Amino acid sequence: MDPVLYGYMLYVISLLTMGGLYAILTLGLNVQWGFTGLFNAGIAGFFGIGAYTAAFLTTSPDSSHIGGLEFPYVVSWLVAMVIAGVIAFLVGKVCLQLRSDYLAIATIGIAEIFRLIVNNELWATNGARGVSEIPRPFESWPEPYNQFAFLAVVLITLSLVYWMTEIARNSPWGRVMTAIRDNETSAKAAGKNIETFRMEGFVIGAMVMALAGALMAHYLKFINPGTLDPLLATFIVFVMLIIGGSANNKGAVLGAFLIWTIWSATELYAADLLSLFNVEDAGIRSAYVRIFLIGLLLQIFLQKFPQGILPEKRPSSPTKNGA
Amino acid sequence: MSRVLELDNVVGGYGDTQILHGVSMHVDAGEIVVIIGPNGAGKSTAMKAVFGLLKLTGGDVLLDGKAITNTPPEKVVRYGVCYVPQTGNVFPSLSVQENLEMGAYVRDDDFTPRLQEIYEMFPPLYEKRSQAAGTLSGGQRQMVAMGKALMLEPKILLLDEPTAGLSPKFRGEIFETVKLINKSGTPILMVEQNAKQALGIATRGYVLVDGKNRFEGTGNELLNDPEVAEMFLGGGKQQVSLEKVAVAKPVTRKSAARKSPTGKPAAKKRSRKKSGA
Amino acid sequence: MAEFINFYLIPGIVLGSIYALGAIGVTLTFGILRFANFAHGEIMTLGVYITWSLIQLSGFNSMVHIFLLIMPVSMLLTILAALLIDRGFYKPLRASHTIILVIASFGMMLMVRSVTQFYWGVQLKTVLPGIQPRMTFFDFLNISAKHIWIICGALVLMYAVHYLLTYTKIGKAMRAMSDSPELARLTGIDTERVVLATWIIGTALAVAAGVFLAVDTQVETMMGFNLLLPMFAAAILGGVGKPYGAMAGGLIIGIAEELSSYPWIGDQALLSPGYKQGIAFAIMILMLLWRPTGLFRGRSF
Repeated sequence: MDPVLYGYMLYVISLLTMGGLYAILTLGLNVQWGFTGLFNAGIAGFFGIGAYTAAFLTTSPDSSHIGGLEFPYVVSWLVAMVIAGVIAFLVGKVCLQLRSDYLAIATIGIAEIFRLIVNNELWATNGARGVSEIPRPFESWPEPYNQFAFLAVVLITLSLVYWMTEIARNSPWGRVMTAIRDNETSAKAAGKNIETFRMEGFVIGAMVMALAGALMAHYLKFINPGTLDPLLATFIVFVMLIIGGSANNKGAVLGAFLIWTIWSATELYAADLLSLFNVEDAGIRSAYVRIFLIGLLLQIFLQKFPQGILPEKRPSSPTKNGA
Repeated sequence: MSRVLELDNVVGGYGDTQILHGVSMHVDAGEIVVIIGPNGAGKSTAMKAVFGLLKLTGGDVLLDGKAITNTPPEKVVRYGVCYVPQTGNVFPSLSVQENLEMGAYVRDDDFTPRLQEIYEMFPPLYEKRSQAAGTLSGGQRQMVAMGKALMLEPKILLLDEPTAGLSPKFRGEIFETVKLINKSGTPILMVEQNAKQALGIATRGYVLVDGKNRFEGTGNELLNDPEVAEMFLGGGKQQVSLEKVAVAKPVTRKSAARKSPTGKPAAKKRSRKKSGA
Repeated sequence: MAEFINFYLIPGIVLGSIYALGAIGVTLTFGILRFANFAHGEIMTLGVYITWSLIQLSGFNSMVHIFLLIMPVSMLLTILAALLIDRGFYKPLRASHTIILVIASFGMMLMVRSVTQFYWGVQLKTVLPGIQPRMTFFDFLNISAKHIWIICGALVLMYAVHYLLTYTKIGKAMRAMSDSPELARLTGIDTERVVLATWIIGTALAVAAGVFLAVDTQVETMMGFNLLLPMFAAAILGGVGKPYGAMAGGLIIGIAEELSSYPWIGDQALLSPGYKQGIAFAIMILMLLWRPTGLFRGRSF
């Protein structure tokens, strides 16, 4: 195959793989934020729990970090999800009673605490040096088939998660969620136990996020506290969901692929563009320009298209809690 | 007699829900006018309409003959209309004096003389002038709320259920205060749930039901009207049943029929009083 | 004893003062504009970098010059930036739900930081070159000159805030609006003017806090973000919307952080220094669980 074309093909595969991973992550956020109305600014934390658990469980024994149990993949993913679910339950017990912006602060704090622990407990996590040589499913296959295979794993997982969240959304459970999100007082009056529902939404969303984290760990084959960067593990997910369309599983997936493609593609051109203007350190600086643009894109959508590209189809209340 | 405030066939509500379906009323100089009616009749809504707190899709609000329909609250205050809402009507963390000072916010002259007058009208406020308004009793807080509204020496004072949530003793005090304020020269438009007591101090009153005028008359006329009495002044808190309202006496003369073009001052109307029961 | 005061308590007061100044801006925005402003730290960072540039340009690098001449100018410039940001990105969303504003401020946080990083780069810089002299009082009190400046500067600014809020019309209007924006509107208070004052004061204090921190440590692009959690914690601890609460909260958290590394029991620090940042968070969570309205009974949720 023509090498340039081959290169493009690998690039497209990587776009789809990362896009797919972020799509799973965004679907998880959608359960928490879109369905249940919980603003979790600590996505990076649950994502990180999934990533590190998968790393510990699937790697070979290594003195730099705990684990190294060489578990089968699916088992370790399930374990990661369970652990994330348990932690989400504990966090939720403490924080879910808080109002939206307080919940944001609390969850960002929790994500930061998690990052602190990862950074400090070197015996367990190898701190900033991270966990490396994380195995990846099908990596022993010849290129490019191993890439395709892993992409298939991601897309299959994505389809499963999408299918399950769609069922959830259209189920009686999902309808109660919308009622709670849009008008808590009347939902309470109808006798629904708000706390339980919100906890369920929070925990399920966290488990999905952990799954995304686990898969990401395999894809990157190396994780460290930098993987839990607030920009790339939390903020960008919100951008994806809001631009794609909140409360909307299709929107979540669309937003994820779209924003990731924009983010990734601009990397190719930003550095060149800056060099054109004789900007020093164009390579490093281009990253900042791209972040700025993503942020700007978010603001534009917040002001002009708050419903996103694919607005929620379910008839929700015309104004959201006083908007 | 000069007409201070007039609502002319106002239509409006919140969002898609229309609450007022053509309400008319007026307040002349020196009067205490009371609005009573069942829950959901639109009493508070009519008052909020004056103050620009909801969108009116029809009719006009006139102050001293000039249309102020749909003027936002910040401007309405400057025109000399002061509104005391039912709840949240003081700044709890500010002292009594600071609340009064805020009441005078739009004034750029020296309002110390007016402050003195308010303290003379409400002696307990002077005593507690350095105390945080949120720590006062319900009745005292109402006093602060009213005093604050009076700092601007308004052309008219709008009171939304001033005795809501107060014990009977304080209710009487509030009504006495309202009379006092009125005597010192301020006309008052008041929404009240305690219909009997309110009508007792009122010059005139309007009964609103389902966003429309139902009855009007002087305080005494309404107090003595058996239908009004049955609906609102009866022993227990009777729910007004819809059938009763539907077959009640036809609405007496009101200005509903006339619609003044927006922007032009309405022609003077003579108010006709409801003939006796 | 002397060691305790000089190397733990006083640094705690210094750090606490920095937190306090930043927290006042956060609590005012929380109370008056009714949202948690995640971009507050980045405004702080921006102010520090502007200060740094002005120092380079002017060549003034003594503390007197920095605090009395340069900082006021950088405050003005940063205020200008903050007002433009409000006009462009927050004002259009004023009527929206709180969480939309929070998301916008999240986005602003990244936009402002990327501008700072783009323009000034990410290498560490310093504001005060060299080691600063320490002074001794009463034979045992040993403070560095810069700490004296910071503590005194913070006191002056806090008193200025107190004066403004207690004795001026706009200050009272700010407190009124923090109590109830709806009633403020009904009373005829010029709400946009109050919003303006909020941004001006909050930004000025943030710049001061940032410059103090830069003088005490160094200049780096994440410094504002690192302060964000302690500032929010201080605001919540003191009671959201209560500036005096923010002052108290900031001091408490700053002192607690520094004292946590004191070897209270035996030889080791009570808490490993890597977890210092966790203290602010722990205090905040405890507060939210025990007394959500904060020490000074601020706005509840």
